[in-house]
Amino acid sequence: MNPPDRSDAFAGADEAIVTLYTAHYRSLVRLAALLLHDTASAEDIVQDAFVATHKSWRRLRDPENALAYLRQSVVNRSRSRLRHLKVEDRKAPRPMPDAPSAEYGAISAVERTAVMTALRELPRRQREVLVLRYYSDLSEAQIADALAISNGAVKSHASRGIAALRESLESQR
Amino acid sequence: MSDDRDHLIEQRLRDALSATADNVQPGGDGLMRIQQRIGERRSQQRWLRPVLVAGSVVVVAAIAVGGVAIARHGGNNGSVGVGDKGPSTTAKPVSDDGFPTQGFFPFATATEESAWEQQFANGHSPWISDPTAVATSWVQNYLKQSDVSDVSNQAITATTADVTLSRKIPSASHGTTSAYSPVTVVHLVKFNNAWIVTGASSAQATSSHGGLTISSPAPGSTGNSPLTVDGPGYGADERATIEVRDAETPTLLGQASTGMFGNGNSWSATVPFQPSDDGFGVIVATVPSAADGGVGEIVAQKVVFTQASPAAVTAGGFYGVQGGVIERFSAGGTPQGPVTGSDSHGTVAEVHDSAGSLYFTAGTSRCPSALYSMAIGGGSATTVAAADAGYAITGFDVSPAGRLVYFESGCGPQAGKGKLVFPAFGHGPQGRAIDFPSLPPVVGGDPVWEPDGVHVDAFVRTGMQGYLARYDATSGTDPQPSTNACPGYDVNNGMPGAITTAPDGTLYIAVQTGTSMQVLRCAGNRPTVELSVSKNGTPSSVSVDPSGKVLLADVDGEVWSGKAGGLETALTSASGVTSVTW
Repeated sequence: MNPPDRSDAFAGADEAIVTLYTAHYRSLVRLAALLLHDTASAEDIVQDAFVATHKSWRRLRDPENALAYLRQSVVNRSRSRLRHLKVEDRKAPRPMPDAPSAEYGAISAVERTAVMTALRELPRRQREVLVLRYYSDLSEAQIADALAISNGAVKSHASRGIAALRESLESQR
Repeated sequence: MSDDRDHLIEQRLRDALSATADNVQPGGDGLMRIQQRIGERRSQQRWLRPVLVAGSVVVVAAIAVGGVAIARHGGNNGSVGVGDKGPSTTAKPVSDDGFPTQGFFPFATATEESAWEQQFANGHSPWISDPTAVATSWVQNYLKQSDVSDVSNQAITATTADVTLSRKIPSASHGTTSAYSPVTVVHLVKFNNAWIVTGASSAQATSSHGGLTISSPAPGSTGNSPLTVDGPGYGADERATIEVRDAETPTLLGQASTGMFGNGNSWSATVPFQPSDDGFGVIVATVPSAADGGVGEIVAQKVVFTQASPAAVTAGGFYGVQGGVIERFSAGGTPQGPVTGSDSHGTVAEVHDSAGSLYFTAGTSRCPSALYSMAIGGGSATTVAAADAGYAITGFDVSPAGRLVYFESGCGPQAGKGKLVFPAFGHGPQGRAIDFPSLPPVVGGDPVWEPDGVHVDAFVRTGMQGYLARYDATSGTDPQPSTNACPGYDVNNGMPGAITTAPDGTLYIAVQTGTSMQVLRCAGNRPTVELSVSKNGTPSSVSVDPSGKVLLADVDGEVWSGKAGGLETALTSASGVTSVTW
């Protein structure tokens, strides 16, 4: 078999990056922002993930693999960033704005702040599982893939996370 | 009741996440920034590397006429300096074409810079014309010190620049202002439109001491692996990491650690490394901050490699442990002589290579008591890890970044106990360790790093059965047996004897099926058979080269090589070899 032509590989990767960017960039930045509580860092991390995806394109080849790789890369880089800064989300230097969204006017800023504060208090793994489940709407298998854990572990973290969230929110009443 | 309450919580969480996420509006220049970075990387791949060959010719020519030794931080504007410790008799801060001879980033030759000038005229990589951007890029993207990002001082003239970079130290308590600690002063000189890094010195110098300083070798002098680097003591109970890095790519060629120094004692470290093809590199010394353990000081200078190690294996060859020493073998398995010095710490049990160094376990008793590293060409070996008293290191791996993981098994009175040790994580002299209080379960073969440098895969043997486990070196939790590192792999179809990670990060497992030996490649939903040997043997070691070619050894000391889709080749000249590495 002839070795792949690098110029073709570049062209395929270039096109794929534009397609992936158009379809998923915004949601990935938002995912990273939810994990980091820091919009500027979230953009940097997602851009890093796109560059890494381009670099690995010959191995990934298929857009579905690429999206899974991107998502896993964003989660890992967010985690690494948090660890690097040695700060909890609540101490993040540039918090996201707390102004209520016009599109989600039904939920008050107070309510949202309470839920997000309780979420940030959860152990890292539980927090990641809940964000991927309830924001990204991923299946258990997709979450397992993104976090490199088993389906059973996803189920366990989700269950414990929801229970802890409930307890935390009820204790605030 | 609980279900209803959980449902309500789930809905509140979903709403809160959606509302919070909607407040995040990414900037509109994301795609442009991604494409710009991809373009820069691609252009480096396309034109930087080929011209390095031409650059190396210039360097080799310089060596041939007597070597070079340049005054510290010399540039094309400064006075001529003769290093008092360098091997050169003639020194000047610029080469014949005017390029600063100590310059190494983003270009190491005038030819490379000239190629960029043409692209710069079209708006390509304008950051190279900004000394602050070049200094920041070097520290963050090549030294990978992303925390060192604050420009706290800069002294820029028409031809030279000193840029001081600081690191933000997280506040000790919530609500207080974070402090910035100066880490390094990056020295640059201007060459045409480009700013070139020529070195870095400590930003922690005081009136009583100069902070971290390299005394020897002199900046820009020649050297080869293993390279001894030393400097004066200062402070108290300091410890430095000394790295030899590629000059223009973020590649670590080798590293070593000094012992404790200070209190009037100087420091020294011997670094085994694999010289890069372009003929030069950078010595980087760092010490951690006493405030929080992050990087505290960075010092760097160029080093010119004399020549590639003559004792490395020939193309396609491999290293193996034969008769208790590390032997070099040709691609066909013909012995080519032992690696000098590999017998200096007793009988060698196992060998791996990583980032241009050989790592091996050895000891004078039955238990290989320590893990050592040495240059691939041989020389003196440095201890990189020692087993606890009564334990032997029975399996290990070293990531490309030099991160260790190893398994200790009890010998003698401690027999039946084990520990999986991650020295780079956690606290204390050993880092983090997972106890195996009663064997089995036991880690069979080597634990192996995944490419992220955080996860480790290992085969955990539980008597006659076992499972592939995936450990998170940072989490402190043991994996569940169901956490399979190789999707689709069933231990009932073959018991692993050895595992390894290929250069591209793919996991390979060598198994004993009951009638044969197979090497499986873990990719996709189920593993594929890459090599099959008809002998019903027990694999002892497996290695995979960048092309996917597999090398397999069994406990009887027989060796095979082969690739998916081809026939295995028995390397009959290599007999009595139980541990192999390409």
